[in-house]
Amino acid sequence: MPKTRIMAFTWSTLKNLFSKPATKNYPAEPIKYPERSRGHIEIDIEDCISCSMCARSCPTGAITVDRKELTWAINRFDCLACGYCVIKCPKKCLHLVPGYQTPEGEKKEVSFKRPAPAPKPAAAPSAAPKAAGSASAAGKATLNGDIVTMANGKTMDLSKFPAEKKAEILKKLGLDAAPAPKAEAEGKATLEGDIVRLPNGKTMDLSKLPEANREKVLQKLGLK
Amino acid sequence: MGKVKRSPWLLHYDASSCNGCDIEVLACMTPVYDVERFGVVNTADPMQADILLVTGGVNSQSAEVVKQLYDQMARPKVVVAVGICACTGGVFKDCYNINGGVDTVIPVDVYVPGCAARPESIIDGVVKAVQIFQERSDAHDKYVKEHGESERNLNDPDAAAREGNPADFFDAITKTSEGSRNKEAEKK
Amino acid sequence: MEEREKKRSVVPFGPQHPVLPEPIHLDLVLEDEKVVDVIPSIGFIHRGLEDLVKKRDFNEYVYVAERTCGICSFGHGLGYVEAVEKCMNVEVPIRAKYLRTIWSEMSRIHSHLLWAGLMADAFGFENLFYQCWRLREKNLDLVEMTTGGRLIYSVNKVGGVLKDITPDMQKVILNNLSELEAELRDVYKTFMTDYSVQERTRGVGVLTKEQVHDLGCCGPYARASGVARDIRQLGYEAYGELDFEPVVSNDGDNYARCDVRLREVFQSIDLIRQAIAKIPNGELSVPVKGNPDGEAFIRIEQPRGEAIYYVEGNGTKFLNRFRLRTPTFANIPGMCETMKGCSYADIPLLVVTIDPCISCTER
Repeated sequence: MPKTRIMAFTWSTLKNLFSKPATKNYPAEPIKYPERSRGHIEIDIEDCISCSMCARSCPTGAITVDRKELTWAINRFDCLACGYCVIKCPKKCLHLVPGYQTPEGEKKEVSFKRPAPAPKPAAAPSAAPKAAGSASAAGKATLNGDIVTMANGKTMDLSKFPAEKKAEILKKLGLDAAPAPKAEAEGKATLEGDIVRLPNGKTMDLSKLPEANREKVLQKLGLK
Repeated sequence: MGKVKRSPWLLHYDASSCNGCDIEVLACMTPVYDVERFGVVNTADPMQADILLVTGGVNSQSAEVVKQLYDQMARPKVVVAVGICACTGGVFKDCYNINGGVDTVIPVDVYVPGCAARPESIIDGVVKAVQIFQERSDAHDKYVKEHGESERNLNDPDAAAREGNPADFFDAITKTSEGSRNKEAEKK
Repeated sequence: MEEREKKRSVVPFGPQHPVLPEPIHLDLVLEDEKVVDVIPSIGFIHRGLEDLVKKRDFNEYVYVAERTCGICSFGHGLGYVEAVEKCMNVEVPIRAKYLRTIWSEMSRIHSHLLWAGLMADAFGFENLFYQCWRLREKNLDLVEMTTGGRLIYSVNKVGGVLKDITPDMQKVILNNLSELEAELRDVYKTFMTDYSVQERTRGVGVLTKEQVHDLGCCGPYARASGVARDIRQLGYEAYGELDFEPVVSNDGDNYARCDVRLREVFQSIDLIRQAIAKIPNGELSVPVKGNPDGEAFIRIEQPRGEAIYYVEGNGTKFLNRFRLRTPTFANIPGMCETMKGCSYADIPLLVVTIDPCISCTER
């Protein structure tokens, strides 16, 4: 049978009565946030490229990106402050900082507009001519194998992208008429061991794919 | 904050919330973020409460409960939606059972964002609600002075008897307050 | 004199009631103030979030899984992430395992102190309620310092953790925990020896060891009846390298449950000290490639008991199914059993002693 005491809490109560109050004097004194406190999202709008990665990754859909108007808007009454958009942003222009949105009578969105990007240089020769890349005439991109050399001299390796993305990029740059090296006669894919050679010249190594997907790929290409 | 004339009492209800915002609302009553300094007391009885704090989104079962609680409160009353789930539905917007925020069911006066809403943010929201409550009760006092009687309280059975139509009484407590207020305006 | 015939009446309890912040509806069949039967009806918090796996990819779903419940939030994020990692055969670095263990124990301290406060409020001892929650704020300050949020930590990801606990932070944690422990001894003494607490909790709501086995209860609720089972002994995360025994009591009444939970807070403080002393250097996470394919099944010890996580992937970035069985669901039959034959005024206490987390149960 454990000990029983009457008014066991008296000593603590008296101690609390005569010591400093534990209350944070909130509206009179401002809050002191710890460094990592998650409050709201801020953006460096000049670095934004309107790729919409943040809008697609937001769990609640609080972010809206408009490519034509070049705006980035966030509904602070819908934001979780989880930080996933900060992780996903390719330009690292989003930051999660302490401080909360004050309560209001209506929900509203906050919108930022970024400056319009500079127009592409028209007839300037490429500033950094790459080895196998020809100088782009009249600001057009050129294709050499899988490497695209753009008007501003930058290069892009198309073999890193999946087939549909590659076709999209080529179409955008006006290079989709480029001849694919080693194109097959009727545009059929061929299978050599574990390597599939596609009509557009790209190769795919089937041993890297899981079993289930290998069957699907071969069926799709009509090789099975 | 200025002079506070009346000390409003709070009623807190959790409609489909994950409990995060509820725990922060309870934390507001505890010594560290004491909200009783402003004269606000947490009560469990809807008929004694002036401010309704709702957390969480609204699903098909809790919609009726929230409406019933709102109707049971006496006017003037203020509604505060705490947390993003109560404002817009939050992360659960796309779920099959969630209809949306609390404003799909009752009219909301103050939105407090955050997931989970910080106690300081909730104190800000409650302070705003207290100011709105004071404006509404001052307007009610003015009405009483001008008309000599209290504005018709929806839960008052005598008022319905005065109007002469018992069906009014049942309508008043089954429909939402907004609907009945419109009916009143039409009669005047 | 004839004996008055006892009439049965049905009293509805909830969904809005003063004892719990959560909505739960119980129909209590009373015979003159003695409860004869209990019929629970739940469904007020059902959001259907398990269905969201089909609309959010598996990396983003962590943020939804965490918000299943605000009190056991870290546990749910951890269980989901561990299940996906097991499905994809990802090996998490050892430092990340220790960090997850430290945060898991901090989550347990906060949850048990929250429960202790609600329990004190349920029997009217408001001073003790405020004192427990004041101590809990000290714990929440530590959590906010290390993760950024007070209740929702958002620090887990598939493959590791997102933030680190630096040596400076470790010193602050150890200091604050010592202060918390000293003040908690006072609270523990009051809970266990005060006359009014004992009058209301001793001999109320007794469950024997056999009943616990038959009804399938878990967690501190079962440990208070003498069942020495703690899922942390399986050794997930860094628990295999820490030294502890399950906290057990043999009485099986409400008093024993208070005792078990408060002693577990002391045990958690000790586990955090051990983990900080042993934590190795290393990376925080490993990169994860590909999509989950197959099934995985994980059990972890939440503050309320044993939680089971099941994940099924089909090779795309959206999972097929995510299923979570929570400890409260397993304890509800035990609660209904203890309510039969008790008096009406004891109902709020019996509801609070299972530490119900209705939002976990209904998801």
